[in-house]
Amino acid sequence: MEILHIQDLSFSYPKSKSKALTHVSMTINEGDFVVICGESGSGKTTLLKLIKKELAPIGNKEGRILYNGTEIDKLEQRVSATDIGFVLQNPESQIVTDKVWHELAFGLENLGVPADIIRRRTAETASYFGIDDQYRQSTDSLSGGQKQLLNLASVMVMQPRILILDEPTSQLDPIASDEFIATLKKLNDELGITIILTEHRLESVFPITNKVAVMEKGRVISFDSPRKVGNQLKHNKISLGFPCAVRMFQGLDASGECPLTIKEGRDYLASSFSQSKGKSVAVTDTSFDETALEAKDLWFRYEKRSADILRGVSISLHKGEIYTTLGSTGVGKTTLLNVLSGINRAYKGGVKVFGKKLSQYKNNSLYKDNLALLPQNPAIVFTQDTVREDYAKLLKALGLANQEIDERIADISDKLGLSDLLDCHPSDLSGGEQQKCAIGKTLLSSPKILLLDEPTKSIDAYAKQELIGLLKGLKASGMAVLIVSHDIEFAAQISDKCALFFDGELIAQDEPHRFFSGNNYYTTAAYRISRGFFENAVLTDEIITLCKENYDD
Amino acid sequence: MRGFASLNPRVLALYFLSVLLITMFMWNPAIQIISLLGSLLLLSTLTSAKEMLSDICFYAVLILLIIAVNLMFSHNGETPMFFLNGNPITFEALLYGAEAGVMIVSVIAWCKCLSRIITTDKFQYIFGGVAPEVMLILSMALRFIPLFKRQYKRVSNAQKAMGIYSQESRADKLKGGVWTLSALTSWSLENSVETGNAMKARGYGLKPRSHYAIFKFGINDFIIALIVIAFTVVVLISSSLGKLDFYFYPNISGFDLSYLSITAYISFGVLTLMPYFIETKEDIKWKFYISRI
Amino acid sequence: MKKDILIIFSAILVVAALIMGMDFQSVDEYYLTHIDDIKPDSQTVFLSIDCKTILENYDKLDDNLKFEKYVPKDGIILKKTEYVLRKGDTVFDILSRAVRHNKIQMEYKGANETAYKSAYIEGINYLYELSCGEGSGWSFLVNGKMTEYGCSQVKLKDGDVVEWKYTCNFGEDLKQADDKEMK
Repeated sequence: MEILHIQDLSFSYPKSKSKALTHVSMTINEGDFVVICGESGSGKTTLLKLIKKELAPIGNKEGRILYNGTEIDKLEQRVSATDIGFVLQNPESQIVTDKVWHELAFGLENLGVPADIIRRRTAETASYFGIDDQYRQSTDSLSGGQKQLLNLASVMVMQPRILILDEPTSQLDPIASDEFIATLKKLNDELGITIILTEHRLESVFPITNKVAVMEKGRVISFDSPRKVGNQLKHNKISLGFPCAVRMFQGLDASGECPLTIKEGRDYLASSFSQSKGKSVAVTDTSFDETALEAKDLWFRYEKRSADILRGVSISLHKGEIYTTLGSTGVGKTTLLNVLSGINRAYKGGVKVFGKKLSQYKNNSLYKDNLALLPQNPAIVFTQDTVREDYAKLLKALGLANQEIDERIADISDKLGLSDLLDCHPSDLSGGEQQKCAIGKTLLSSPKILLLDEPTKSIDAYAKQELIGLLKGLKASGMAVLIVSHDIEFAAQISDKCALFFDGELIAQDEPHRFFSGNNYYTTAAYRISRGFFENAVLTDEIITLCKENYDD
Repeated sequence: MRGFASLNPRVLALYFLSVLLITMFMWNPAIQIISLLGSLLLLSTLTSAKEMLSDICFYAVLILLIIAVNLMFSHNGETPMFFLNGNPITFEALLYGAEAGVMIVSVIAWCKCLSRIITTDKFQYIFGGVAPEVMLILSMALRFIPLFKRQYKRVSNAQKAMGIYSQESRADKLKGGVWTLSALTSWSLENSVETGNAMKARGYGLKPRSHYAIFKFGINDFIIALIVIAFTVVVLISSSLGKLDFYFYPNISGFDLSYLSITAYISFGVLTLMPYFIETKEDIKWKFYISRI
Repeated sequence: MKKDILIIFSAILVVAALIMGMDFQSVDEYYLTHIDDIKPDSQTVFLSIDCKTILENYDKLDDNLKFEKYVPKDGIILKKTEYVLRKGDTVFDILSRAVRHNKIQMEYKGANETAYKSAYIEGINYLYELSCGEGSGWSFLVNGKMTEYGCSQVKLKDGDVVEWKYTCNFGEDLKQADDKEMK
C-alpha cells in the first residue's frame, strides 16, 4: 500500500541560484525500508526535512508530497506530529529533558495523552528498546549510542507510521551504529513500520533495505532494490560508500546478481575464483629512521581514586609514518592523544618529542612547529566567523607578521584545495569540508607531528577518500601522523602501522596487512570475504587486483 | 532508590516541611535535641562515615561559635558567671545560645538530607502540577548545563592544542577564554535550534499539553502522609495550648510534664526518627534475606 | 561553604570584641561598689526605680516574668533613696552605682554602641524593653520631667530627684501618672 508519494518535487533555498532538489519523484509503500545515499550536499537532508512539515525549510517548493493521499502542508498538526517520526543526526542536541523517563514521555505530553496511558506506553517502549534499566537515569549519563537509541525510542513511543532518520549513526562508533541499524531492522520486521534513512556507512544498511535511492546534485539518479542499484551504478563515485561485496562485484565488472553481504561475497568468490587459492598480497615493511614522538610506559588516570585509563602505553612514531590506533569507544583513545599532546600529564612515564621531554617545551613552543592535535569534532576548532579570520587569528597568536600570515594562508589553502571555503562561516560547511579546513588550521603552525582523533567520523565516503589522499601527501612530505579511530577500513587503507588499544595498553602493533589478517573479528570486510581465497587481502581493491591477476594467468 | 527516599516526593516534601517548621519555630530544647538526633541519624544513612565525621565536627564548632556570639550580645539571665564591660555574661544566655545553635545545626542537617533525598526530578514533580511550563524549562536547563560544560572543556582543549593560549601570559589566557566563549555562544545557538527542531518534530506546541511523572501515590505514601499530619497536629495543639513553652530568661523555666506535652514530645520523636527506622528496617530485612539465601 | 560560615561567625565575634572591648570582672568585683557616706556637707540626689505601670497592664506582660520577684506587688523595685553626688555624675552613673549596690540586675548598651551617643538601659530587674507589650521600656524623669537627652548625657546637681519608671505606652502613661500626682 502506498504511504508516501513524492511527485515531481523541486526545491530551492532563498538567495540560492541552484536548486537543492530537482524533479524528485518517489513512491514509498507501507513497510518499505528505504536508504537514501549520496555525497554531502546532494539534497538528502533537504528531501527528508520536506517530508516532515514541522522541519520543512523555508524556500521555493514545487511539486507535491502526499502522505496517505493528503498533501503534507495540509496535514493536521497532530497527525504530522504522531504519524511521521523524525530522528536527527546529532544524538546530543535532540535530547530535550534531563531524565530518560521524561524524554520518553515528552512527545506524549505534547499530545496531551493522559498520565496513566503515558506510563504504560513509556514502560512498554523502554522495555522493547532494552533501555528499561536506564529509565530513571539522567540523560547526560548515557553513552552516544544509548542517547541515539533513546532518541529513537522517544519518537517510537508516539507510534509513528513512517520513521525518518537523517544520518542517525554518523556520530556513533561502529558497534553502536550496528546495534542501532539492527534495531531499525527489528522495527521494520516486527512492526512493519516504514523507514526512510540517509546513511554514509552502507556496509550494514545495504543488505537489509528493500529500496535504495541514490542522489546526486539534487536529483535521484537511481531508485531501486539494492542489488539492482549495485548493478546499475558501476562507475559512479557514490559507490565508494557501498559495501565491500558490492564494490568488489563492480570492480570486477561482473554481471549477474550483485552480492550484498560478506557471505554472498564469499559465495561469489567461491563460484567465480575457486581455483585462485594461494594468491597473496606481498607485505613490505617500510623502515623509518627518525623518531618523531616516543612514549614509554605511560600511566594515567583522571582522578586520584579513579581507575587507570592508560596502563603502561609505549609507542614510537617516526617521521613519514602513519600510525593508527584502533579500539572501541570509551577505552581511552582520546585520553591517549591528550596525554601525548601534553593536555593531560601522565603520572608515570614520559613523552619525548624529537628527543626532548614535553616539559622542556616552554610556553607554546610544543604546539609551534612541532605538534598539532585535531579533535574529534572538527567544528570546535573554529572560533571566528570565517575560516580566513580564524586562520589569521591563530597565526597572529603564533607571532607571525601580517604579510607572512597572508602567504601562509594562501599556501595552505592551495595545498589542501580549500580556497573556495576560506570566506565561509565554519558551521555552514559540510562535515568533510569542516574536516579539511580544520586540518588546514592545524597545519598553519607547520607541525611535524599531527595527531588526529577520529578523523572519519561524520564524513562521507568521498570525503574520506580525499582525506586519505591528503594524509598520504603529508606523509610523503615527512609528517608523522598518529590517528586514533574505530574506522577499520580507513585504517587498513592508510596506515603504515596499526595497533589495538585495549585495557589501557597498545596490543599487537603491526603492519596493517599482518594486523588485520591476524584478527578474526576485528578486521576489514574485504578480509572477511577473501579469507581462505587470498592471503593478506585486507582491501577491496586488493581483492579486485588479485582476481584480475588470476584471470590473466 | 529505596526506603524513605522512594516515597512519593510530595509526601517527602510534606515531611520535611513539617519537621523544619517545627524545629525552627518551637523554641523548646527537647524539640531541638530530638530534631538534631533525627537529622543526624538520617544523614548517617545518606553519607559516608568520613563525610559524616567532618560534618559533625563542623556542627560542633558552629554551635560553639553561636554560643559565643549569643553571650556577647545577650546579657539577660539571673545567673551571671562573670561581667564583661559592665554587662553580665549569664548561664541562661549560654544555654539559650546552645539552643539556638542546635536549632540552626539541625535545620542545616535536615536541609542536607532534603537535598540528598529530593533530587531535581522529584523537585520538578512537587511543583510540576503548579507550573508545568516552568518545570519543563528547568528540566531543559538541567539537561543543557552538563552539555555546555563538556563542550567548553572540548573547545578549550582544542584551542590549547592549537597553540593559542598555552602561553604562560595571563593576557593570552584571557584572550583564549574570550574566543572559547564566543565559539560556545554560536554553538549553543545552533544546539538550541536543533533542540527546538526535535521538540517541534515531537509535537511541542500542540494544545492541550498533559503532564506526566513517574511517581505514584501508593498506600504506603498515604499511610506515611497520615502519620506526618497526625503527629504534626499533636505537636501544634500542644504548642498552641502553651504546653511546649519554654523560657531561658530571666531563668530557665523547666519543662511542662503534662500528658499532652509528653505526647507531643513522643510524637515529634517518632516523626523525626521515622526515616531512620524505615532505612534501617530495610537494611535488617535485606541482611535477613541474604542470610536465608 | 562550611568554612565560610565558620569564618563569618568568627568575624562577628572579633568585630564585637574590638568595638566593645574586653574588660572582664568577676561577679564579686562587679557588685563590690563603694557608696559614699552621706555627710552634712555632701551633695546628694534621690533615686527611685518602679514599674507601677506594669500592674495596670499585667495581661500584656510576658508569661515568664509574671512573678513577684520581677514585678513586686507595689511595683517598687528601689524605693526613693538618697545617694551622694560625685562631681560630673550623670543619671546613668547614679543608676549604675545604685543597682550594683543593691544587686539589682541591669543591662545596658554602652554610649559607643548606640546611634545617639548615649548609654541606653535595656533592662532592669529582668524587665526589658518590649517585655510588656509594644512601646514598653525604661524611661527616666528628673525632678518630675522627661528630657530629650540620653541618660549618660544628663548631668545632675545637688538635690535632683531621679525616677526610673517602666512605661508600657511610649512614656504617655508616665505623664498621666505625673498629672495625677500633681493633682
